[in-house]
Amino acid sequence: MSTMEETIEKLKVQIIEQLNLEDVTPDEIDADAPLFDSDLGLDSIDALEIIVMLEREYGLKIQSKEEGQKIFYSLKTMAEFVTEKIA
Amino acid sequence: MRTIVNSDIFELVDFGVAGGESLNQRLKSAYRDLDIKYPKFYKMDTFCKVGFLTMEHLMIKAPVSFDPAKTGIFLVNQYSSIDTDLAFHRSYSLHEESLASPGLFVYTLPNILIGELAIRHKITGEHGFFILSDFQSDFIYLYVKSLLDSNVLDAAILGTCEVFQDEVLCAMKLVSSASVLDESLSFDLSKFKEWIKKSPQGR
Repeated sequence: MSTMEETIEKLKVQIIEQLNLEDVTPDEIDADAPLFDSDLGLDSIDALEIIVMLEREYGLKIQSKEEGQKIFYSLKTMAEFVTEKIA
Repeated sequence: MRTIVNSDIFELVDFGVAGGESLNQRLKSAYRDLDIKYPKFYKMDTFCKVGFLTMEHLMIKAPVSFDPAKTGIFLVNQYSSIDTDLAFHRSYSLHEESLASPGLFVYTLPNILIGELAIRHKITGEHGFFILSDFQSDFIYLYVKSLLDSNVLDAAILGTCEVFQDEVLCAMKLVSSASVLDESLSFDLSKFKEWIKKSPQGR
């Protein structure tokens, strides 16, 4: 498993835990699908929770709304951001 | 944890914690027992979970149909959302490196419970959450009666919800303009008050 795949799987678990998505399993999250326009039903508070999670778990800060929109497009874009920053 | 629901009969719904089960685990079990699909439940704080479950039981047992647009929700308690307020405070004050949880912060107001109930049941009538030093049935009685008498509302959900650590007390009742308000509403609210006083979990 590549670093990117490992990061995606780790983020899936962290998001499920952080957002209390108890009826969701990691396998059910499509890493390429839009994160905030999907069956996950995430809202703006969930976005804030993910921002806090990224800062707490990885020490990463989202610098602007525009950057956030790109990073949070999908789990894959989020994993790319994390992988790039912590590499 | 215990709640009471229903319009005419006060029925005790026992969500009691037993066998080493935590309150949160018990609430999740109670949710699953309802066999409904509402994932937002898992995101709620304990206060809203308790109120949500009580309302679900009330809706199952409600003997009268009601128009959500002309139905209000009026809740009263003494301690506001203190359990969640303290949890939120702990979430960022115990460890300096901790960041406050936005998901928890949004529940640090008791009227969020009314919002959750209104969203779930599409209720859009007037509503209010009153923090009072006592469960003042006369106040609620006069308030809701005036709204029903003036046809602002056709029905109202009345009740109380208190949560502190593992102590839980929640009571809800549906009244309508078809009810014999002068007697039944006053009587039933008094029953709420009596029940709360008699409850070992009451304050």
